[in-house]
Amino acid sequence: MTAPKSDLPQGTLDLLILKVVALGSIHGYAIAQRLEQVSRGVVRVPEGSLYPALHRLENRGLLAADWKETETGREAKFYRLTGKGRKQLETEAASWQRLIDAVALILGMADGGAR
Amino acid sequence: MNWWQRLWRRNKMEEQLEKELRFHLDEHVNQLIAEGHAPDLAQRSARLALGGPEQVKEKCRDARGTRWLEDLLQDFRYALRTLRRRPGFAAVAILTLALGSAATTVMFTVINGVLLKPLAYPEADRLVTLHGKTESMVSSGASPTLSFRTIKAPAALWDP
Repeated sequence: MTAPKSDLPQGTLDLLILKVVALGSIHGYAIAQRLEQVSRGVVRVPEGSLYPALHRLENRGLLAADWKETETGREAKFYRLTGKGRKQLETEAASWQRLIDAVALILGMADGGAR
Repeated sequence: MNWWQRLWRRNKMEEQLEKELRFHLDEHVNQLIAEGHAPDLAQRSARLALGGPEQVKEKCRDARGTRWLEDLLQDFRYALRTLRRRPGFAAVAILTLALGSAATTVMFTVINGVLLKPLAYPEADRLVTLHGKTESMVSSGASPTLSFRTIKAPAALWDP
């Protein structure tokens, strides 16, 4: 529980938000929670940056938002992915995967040697 | 009208932003209380987790891209207030602007009429002026020193 949490690498918050929102219409607090749960508490989601990021993504047309009632009967702003957002998610996820592969390759070099 | 609409929309957006952040805080507090924290402590740590509400709001406004409009409105209102407080300065400034634009308009009208607009003749750019010259005098226009014969010469000669 007291394992040190890492900060998110620059620019990944948008990608993670898009991914979480892609799973279904969801409000800001639930996004923060989902990110925290899914990353098993390893990643510290900066709540202070979450909302600016949501508004930025909405402004860029990657997310759309509606006010709906939650199960507890309160009104909350629910975000959902637009078509443009889905495309953005795909390209960003792909480039993130490429980066991970490249970094893993470089880090694994010592074991395999220079062949 | 449009100005008021934007202002109205801004108020609505501010309201929604406030509501959204409030919802987040309340949910977080509720969850912390459900986890067994004391209400005032829960309140405090939820607030800490989110960060200063004004700061977050400011960042959201930046993200929305409406900041420039808000700043513009603020500047505009400030300018109006300042001008009203110093009517003498306002009068001089307005007079200067009026004179400036009037002078520019006059200059443009003259230049447009005299230099830029083509003359009201067909093929105005092929009009020529004839100057006659003798040893004793230089004259222009329908000069008596230009002989009728010279003027009757093939038009190609006069073409620039």
